[in-house]
Amino acid sequence: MASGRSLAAFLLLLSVVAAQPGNAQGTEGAVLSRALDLEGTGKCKDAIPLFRQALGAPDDPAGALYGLERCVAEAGNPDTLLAVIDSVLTKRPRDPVARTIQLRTLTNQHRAAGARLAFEHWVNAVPGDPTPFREYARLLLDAGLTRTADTVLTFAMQRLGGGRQIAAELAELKGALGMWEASATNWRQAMTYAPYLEASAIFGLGAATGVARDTIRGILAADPIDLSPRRILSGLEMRWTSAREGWNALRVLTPTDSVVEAWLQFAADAEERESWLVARDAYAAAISQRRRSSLVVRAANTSLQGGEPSAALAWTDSLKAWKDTSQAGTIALIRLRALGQLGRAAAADSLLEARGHSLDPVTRGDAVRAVAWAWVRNGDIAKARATLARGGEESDERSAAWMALYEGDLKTARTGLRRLDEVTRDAVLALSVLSRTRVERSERVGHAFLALARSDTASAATTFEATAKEVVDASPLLLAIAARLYRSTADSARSEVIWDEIIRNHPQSPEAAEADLEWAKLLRSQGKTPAAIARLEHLILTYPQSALVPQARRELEMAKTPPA
Amino acid sequence: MFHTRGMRFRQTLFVAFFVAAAARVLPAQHLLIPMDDRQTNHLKAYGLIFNALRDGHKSEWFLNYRGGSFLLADIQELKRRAALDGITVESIDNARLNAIRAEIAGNNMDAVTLERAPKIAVYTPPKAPPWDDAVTLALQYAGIEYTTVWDDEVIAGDLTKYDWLHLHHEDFTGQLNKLYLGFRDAPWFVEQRDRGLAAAKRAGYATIPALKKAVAEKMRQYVENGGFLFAMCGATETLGLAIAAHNVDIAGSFADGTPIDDNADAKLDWNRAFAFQNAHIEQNAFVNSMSDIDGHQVNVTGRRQPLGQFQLFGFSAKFDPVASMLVQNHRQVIPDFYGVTTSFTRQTLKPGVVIMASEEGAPWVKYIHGDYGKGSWTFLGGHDPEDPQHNIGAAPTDLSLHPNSLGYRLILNNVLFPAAKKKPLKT
Repeated sequence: MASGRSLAAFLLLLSVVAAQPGNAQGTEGAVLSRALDLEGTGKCKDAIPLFRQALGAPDDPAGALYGLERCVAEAGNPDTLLAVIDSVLTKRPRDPVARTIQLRTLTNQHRAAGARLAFEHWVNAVPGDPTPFREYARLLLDAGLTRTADTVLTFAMQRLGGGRQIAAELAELKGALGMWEASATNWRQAMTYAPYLEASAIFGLGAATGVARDTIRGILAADPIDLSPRRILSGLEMRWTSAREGWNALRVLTPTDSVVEAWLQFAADAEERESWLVARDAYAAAISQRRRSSLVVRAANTSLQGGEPSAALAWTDSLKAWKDTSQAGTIALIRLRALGQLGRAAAADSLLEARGHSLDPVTRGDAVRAVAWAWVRNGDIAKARATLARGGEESDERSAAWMALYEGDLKTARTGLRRLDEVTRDAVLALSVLSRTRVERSERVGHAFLALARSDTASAATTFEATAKEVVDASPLLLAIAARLYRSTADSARSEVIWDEIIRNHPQSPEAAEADLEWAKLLRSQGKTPAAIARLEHLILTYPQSALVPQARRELEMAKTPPA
Repeated sequence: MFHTRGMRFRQTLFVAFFVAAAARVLPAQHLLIPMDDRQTNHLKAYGLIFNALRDGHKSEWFLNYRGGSFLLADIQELKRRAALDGITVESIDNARLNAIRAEIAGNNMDAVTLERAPKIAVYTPPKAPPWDDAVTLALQYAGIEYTTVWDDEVIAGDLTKYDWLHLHHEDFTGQLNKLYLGFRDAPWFVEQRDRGLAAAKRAGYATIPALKKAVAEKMRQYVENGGFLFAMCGATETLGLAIAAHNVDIAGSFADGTPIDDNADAKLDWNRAFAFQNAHIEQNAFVNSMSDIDGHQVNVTGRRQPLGQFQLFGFSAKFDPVASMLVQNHRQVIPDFYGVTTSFTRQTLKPGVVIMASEEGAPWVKYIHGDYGKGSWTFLGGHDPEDPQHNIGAAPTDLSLHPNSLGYRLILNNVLFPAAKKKPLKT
């Protein structure tokens, strides 16, 4: 019994002793939580004493120190913070957080001598550690004090026996000084120990201009071909030139798990930027390493969006062998749209017949409209209407308005298109014509827009030009459209004839100024500068109230300024 | 009698009718180019006037009238140019002009005749450094012709060919703006240094500081002999230092291989300088400052002063036409802008210097002018009025986005001022 009692007493004592440090920690943890809560509600002054109390935590005072720094900064009395930091450093002279906050506070207050002294103390406290050099150099660079940063980093290289450990800071410094070659070299070196700084490297090097970019390209693309430098180069190319160049930087990498991840991330970025075909190529490269139907669907979709319907069909065809039905609806819709874009309306119709029943109502509606548009691209409006009726989509406002336009029923088209919030190029063009004329019916106008829908630009140009004689109240606009279309078919001579006609016969129309401007741009591109100048001067002097005058003045400046 | 009266009445009526009809039919005889807020492109307006003078037309500058407006003859070609450049012009007849002249006569305004387009030289290296030059930008945008000159031309005595000389951020102490520490390896810095050394060698000087001293002396002589000099940014301060230092070494050893004379301050000869006196040389090669002339010390940690705004002074147009011309503007308060030399401390100004703009309560001024020999000089602190924090490598300012720039107007006032017909001084 006695031994049992003493055992119980011993266990109780043990538990009390064991619990004590835990309680202390728990108390300080609770104090820190309360301080953070107060800070969160904007009561920084009340939080400061609690943060100071929480500094008593034996292990890591970082949370309390950062909180104290934030609140003191808001209260505007940094000297109190420096006093607290001094006391922390007395106990923990190597603490990087306290040292960094001390340096930051002194630098922000422009107390250069104090910061320098604090930095030297830190260097002495942690011999061989690059952290003090990194932190101080970064602070100085952020403050634009490149010269002092240069001195600090030179000192670091002496103390650390080279610049490898401070490569990122050196890279930033060199970038700030416009020494791009050195900066790129340092960034490449920094990637060996800090690949997470890729974004910083892209940001830093992105400011380079002109020939400096080629130098940077050379350094990042040099052998050995590593992922991080290539990702930086890819990011820079996305910023400087195009997504295609960005992909060229990545595609040469030997595929590994990390590389495929990088490709997929790039593809998603390219997709977001609507660089569809570049995204498709990146997905294709990833698919060669990871056969996943979801990736194939994305490759097919990006092909379709990028204007390569045949490639989209090929991608979806490749899935047949996989017998994966998980994305059947999406795949069917992609195929329908691809067939529609290719003008293979009958094939699209058959596909709709075969697979339509398995689609959900929303997807089915999309599919029906896609097939109807396929018939439109075939020039068969009757079949398009029949498809819509068969699929229960005959009341679809958008389709009805466009069909009316293609059939020359301008009145119905005008009413229908005005109700839509469609802002595509074709819709804006159609509305501009419809709102310019009071004519209610013109089959020729319908044919012109139908030719546009069928991507038959040459025919559309001819028809719009012919229509100008029929729809007289919109004549200059229709001629201007025709001129623009001729220009896009490289028949710029015909465009010039039409612009001349607009300027001569419709001098009061808004298209006259536009004709002058477009004509001048064409002449400039052909190297006919004096003629371009004459057109621009004509525009400015004849139509001083035109909204195109500022643009014409800009063009005139450029035409008159010889290329550097 | 009645018959005679009736005839007279009819004659009077006829004359009145004829005058009224003529007033309707006759075109306006003059073009007023307003320079107040109604002007849509102030900067191009200077180009219109300059080119009209170049083509042999006369113009008048109405000081203090609607922001310093101009008068031209109503000539179709001038109207055409104005329309092309987006410059607001008002066609006025003699009656309206007379009313304007009456207003000018009765107020602190004056009409100054502009006679001929001055010949302009801009001192700039053959291959421009990575900054842009605000004056070159302004001249190009306004369509004003100029010729670039560099050390070879100055040493050869070519300045006598020009009425107006502009300097920008050249360091006439020959220390390349003390950019050695920060940019010593930058390709453009290396190129700039090599170019300077080559020019020095061609001219028979061993170092860049020696060459620049000789160039500064040529410029001093140019003004002394009747030239107009306009300087901005670091050229203002370093030209003064180089002229005053004709007998003393003020360049650091990194620039000429010899240290700065320990007693440099005392040996400077300020009698020869245009604007400054009693300044102290910054001896430390690693402190990016030349002297205590600049009030803002933008590149020196701990000394850098914040930007404020400066106010243009008003002068009597009738009694002080030169200063009046130089401050014509449509606003009197202008946001300040940094440069290698941003401002001029009052304590280093010579007593006769005309202060044309300063920051209220600050120990520095922004815009100064003075006569020297038969010529005159004007200094404007700062680099680019529309890019207050201009950094090396920053894209040049696009003036088509700032057609009404207040700061750039000050630069262009200086371009037209030498075109003014000399008047006998009234004071």
